[in-house]
Amino acid sequence: MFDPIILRAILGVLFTSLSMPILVIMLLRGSLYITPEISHAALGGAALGALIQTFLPILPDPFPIVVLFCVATAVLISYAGRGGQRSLGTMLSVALAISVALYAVIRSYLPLEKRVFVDSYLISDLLLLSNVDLLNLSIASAAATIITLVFYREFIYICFDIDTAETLGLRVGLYDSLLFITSAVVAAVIARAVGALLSVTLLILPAAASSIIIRDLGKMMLTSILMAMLSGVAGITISLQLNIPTSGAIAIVSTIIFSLTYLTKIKR
Amino acid sequence: MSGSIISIKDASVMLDDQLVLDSVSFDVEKPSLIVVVGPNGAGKTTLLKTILGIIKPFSGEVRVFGLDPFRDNVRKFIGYVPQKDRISYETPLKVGDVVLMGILLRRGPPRFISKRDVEDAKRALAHLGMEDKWDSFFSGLSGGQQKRVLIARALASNPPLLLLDEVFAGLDLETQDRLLSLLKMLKDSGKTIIVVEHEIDPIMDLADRVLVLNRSVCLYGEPHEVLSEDKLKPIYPCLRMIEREGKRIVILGDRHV
Repeated sequence: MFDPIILRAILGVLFTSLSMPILVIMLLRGSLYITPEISHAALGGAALGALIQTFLPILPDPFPIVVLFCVATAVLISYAGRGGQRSLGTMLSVALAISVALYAVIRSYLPLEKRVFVDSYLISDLLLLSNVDLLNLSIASAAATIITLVFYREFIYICFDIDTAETLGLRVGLYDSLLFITSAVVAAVIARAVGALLSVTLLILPAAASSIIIRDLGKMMLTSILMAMLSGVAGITISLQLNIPTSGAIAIVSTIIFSLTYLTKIKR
Repeated sequence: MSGSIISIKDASVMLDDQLVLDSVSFDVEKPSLIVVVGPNGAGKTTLLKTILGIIKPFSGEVRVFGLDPFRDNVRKFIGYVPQKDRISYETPLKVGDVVLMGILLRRGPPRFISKRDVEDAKRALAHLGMEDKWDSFFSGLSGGQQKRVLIARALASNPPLLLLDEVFAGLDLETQDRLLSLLKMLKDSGKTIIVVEHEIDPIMDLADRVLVLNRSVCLYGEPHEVLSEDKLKPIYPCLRMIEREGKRIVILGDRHV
């Protein structure tokens, strides 16, 4: 039997990996690079959530506040993106500044155990996931997966030909916002799993690597899930063997996988 | 649906504080093929988007099949082929998926694919001689083949009105001929087709009417009425007209008046 700590870590990898398809869609939309910025908003959300929890103990866990903060950031970024690259870039900077500022300021007012909790959103460790964390990750990941499955066509049509999609009656603004919101939920999941600092390793690399070697869309999404799972499980194994931080080990494995797929492309 | 197919009266459109269409008026009374020509920035694509109900004029009136495109859903009666430059080739859609898009987006979610949808999509592709490309990736096709797929997408739901935005641009002669045959067949079957083109030559023989646009309607009439040097010269200062083998070839120099 697995140690409960390892079992929770592997389930954490599973829930995180299952939400990869929306990131493949964001890659095709040309907006994947935004997701690490959204995951940094988790820092501000975690600090705010911990503060609320300190004064309102009825909040069982700050994760819903983290998700809300990431979603609000995504909506703002999505809205700013309609004004062109310059306003998008400005909004990304503003969102990052507010999140990190909130994290830094609120953290200083929190009791020690809350500070440790908030810091776990900066660099997290899958081996430290609690049952409540797993419940949060499973719900958020399931929601993202269901939205991706239900609105898969709408998202893909926006990626492929937004003008015609709009012409044929698709509410592109609505679905584009839903795409960003769903990505924000996944960004919050990954921030909880590996931390905002290393979130890029799971937000970008599996989707990017799979798009390099696979052309078929369905297989591309499946491959991104498998690559994220491989990175996670291999990272946990290496971390346990070498006694190094899990998120760092996952980052190294996913970077190696991405580099190998990139080399494969160059060789071709 | 009643009256004219398209009726536009004094429609003016502003985009980014620029007057793009200025008091545009014209009618399409019966099924026909109308070619809209004009220099770059003349408002040709904006005119199509106004007919589609995407860009709303700040003044004037637009009616499509007697309906207000900004209030009523007229897009279900329209097949639209956009310019290719806004399409993302990074999205690995197959030809079948692209054509089905033209059917599925006309209904609300959930957009399940029925057997009939697939048959309609394959029939539209067959019109363009592309049925064997169903499982090919769209991005892997030549430019001409991609345009044929986009036209098949517009045809898949069998709309009575087709709006084609620069579909002849960049096509080789063989593909142009194939496309002309298709447009003739569609015109003969009673469809109304509006073709926006930068140059009129490829489609001159098929046109029932020509509309010369340069923010406002400069000329609108049958080709022999419109395509004369004295009428076009003020709009196209670099205009050249060549007679070859009894056919008049019009070369429209691209310069704003």
